[in-house]
Amino acid sequence: MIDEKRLYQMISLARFENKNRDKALRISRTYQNDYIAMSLLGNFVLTTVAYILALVLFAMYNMNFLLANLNDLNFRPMLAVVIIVYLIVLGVFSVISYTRAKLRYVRAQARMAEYQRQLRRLYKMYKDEEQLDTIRKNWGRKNRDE
Amino acid sequence: MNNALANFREQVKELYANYDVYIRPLLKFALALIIFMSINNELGYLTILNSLFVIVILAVICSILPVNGTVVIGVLLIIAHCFGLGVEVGGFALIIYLIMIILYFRFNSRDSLILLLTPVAFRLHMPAAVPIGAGLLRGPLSTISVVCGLISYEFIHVVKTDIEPMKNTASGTSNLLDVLEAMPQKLLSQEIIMQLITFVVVMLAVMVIRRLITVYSWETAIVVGTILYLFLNIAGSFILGMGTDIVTLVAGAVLSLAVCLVLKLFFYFPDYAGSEYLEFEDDKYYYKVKVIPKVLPRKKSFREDEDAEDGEGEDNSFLDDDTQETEDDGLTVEDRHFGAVRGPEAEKTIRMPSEEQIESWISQENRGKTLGKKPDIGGETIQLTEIHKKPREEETIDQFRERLEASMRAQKKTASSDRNQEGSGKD
Repeated sequence: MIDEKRLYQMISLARFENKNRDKALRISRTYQNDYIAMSLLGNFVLTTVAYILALVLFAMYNMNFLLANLNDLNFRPMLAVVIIVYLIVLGVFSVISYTRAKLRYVRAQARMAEYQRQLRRLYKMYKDEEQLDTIRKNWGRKNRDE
Repeated sequence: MNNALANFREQVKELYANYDVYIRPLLKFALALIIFMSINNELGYLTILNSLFVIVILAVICSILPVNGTVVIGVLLIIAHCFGLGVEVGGFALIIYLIMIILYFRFNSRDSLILLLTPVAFRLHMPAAVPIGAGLLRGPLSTISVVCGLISYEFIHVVKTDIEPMKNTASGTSNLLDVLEAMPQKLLSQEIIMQLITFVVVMLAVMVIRRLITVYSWETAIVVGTILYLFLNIAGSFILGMGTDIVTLVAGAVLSLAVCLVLKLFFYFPDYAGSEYLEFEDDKYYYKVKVIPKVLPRKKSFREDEDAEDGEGEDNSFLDDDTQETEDDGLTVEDRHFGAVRGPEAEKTIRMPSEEQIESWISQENRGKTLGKKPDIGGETIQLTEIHKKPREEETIDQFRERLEASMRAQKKTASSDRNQEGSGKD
């Protein structure tokens, strides 16, 4: 006979796994520092690419000026400004990425803790069912012996 | 009126809930089709992608992907059409969309659909729906999404109105550098900046008004947002000396207002007549709470069934006797609860005894056993009948344990009362 409570428990656990396969379950397989480090590394690469593209756009916008004054441009201060702005932009986006990764990990951990608690509850239901089956079997055997 | 709208809303929700498996892919297909057709109508430089067959295939693919899949394919379609016009235009489009995705949409991918919905809204002549709808449904951070959506539309518009004529000049040649320079400059023109400011101001105003704890805050936000949009557009065109088609502008604003009112029906539908204002406090805070109930569809009562003749429509009448008729087989409700049956099925099932019956058996049986012996009341040496130790089919182990303990307590009481009787008898 199907135990409804156990069935509902299994359904809710399956729904959690289905929903969080790519999120909490995946995140919880790594350590927090590793997860944050990977996020920051990805952020570094993407921000650098985006910054270069933005520089290209800026150059396109001022193309006439740049081409007309190419020989007279002082590259050192320009490079310094470019690098400083790059570091500021990288810093801002690194902070955003760090905060986002940390929040995600902590929330995933909380969800996983609840998932583990529900799994233990399901395990207890199975253990209780086994004990009841044992009692019923022993009762049946005793009755027959008597 | 409220009840009719609530009923309509519940019917739509029920329909969606029942046929969600079919409706969701259908909606995604329709959305993708509309977006891709509108992109093709605006751009359409790559003839291979202009075919309806290709668009339908792409829309079918989008119906099985998540919504962000539609956004990715839509953006790729725009970039492909731009490459069809010229490599430099395609490259510029790629840079624009890459920057938006890398710097913003990788953190907030929920709003990425605004990138494609904004051009569609402009094409349908209801651009105000985007900032007003975003103000109603999203938070302050979504202002960036709205700005990105507007940039996406304005880029498409600039390509169509300014870059395409440059590429297709009568002389047949176009200066690459002129095109490269024109694109970012046209994109940052005064008109576009004015439109950006309009969108941001309208969205923030709608968001602030919507969050006020007043009655009709959503309706007020929608109306104020529409009026603000009209005012800022007219003022901007006056300041910049641009000609604006007022009729189209007003018609678009009214259409946007209607769309946002429909949105409001599905996302926020309160019954202000039933609102309450509560004040209370605890150790730390004073609480001042406004409670506004939702409008729920009112179920038809017995008296409203006026069309029914006598006896019809009275299946669930309050006058009916609710007790169920059962066969008189001598079994009580409790017996049935424990699975007891009579008749032909009885031979196949075991009749479970009720609680009171077990208690009486135990007390009778153990009275005989314990009269001769003195049970140890302090410990757990009380003998229980084997019937009582058997768990029932439908009980859990916790219930079984509780039942055993209750019986042991009852038996202790019986044993102690017997001992008292013995003691008084001796005296």
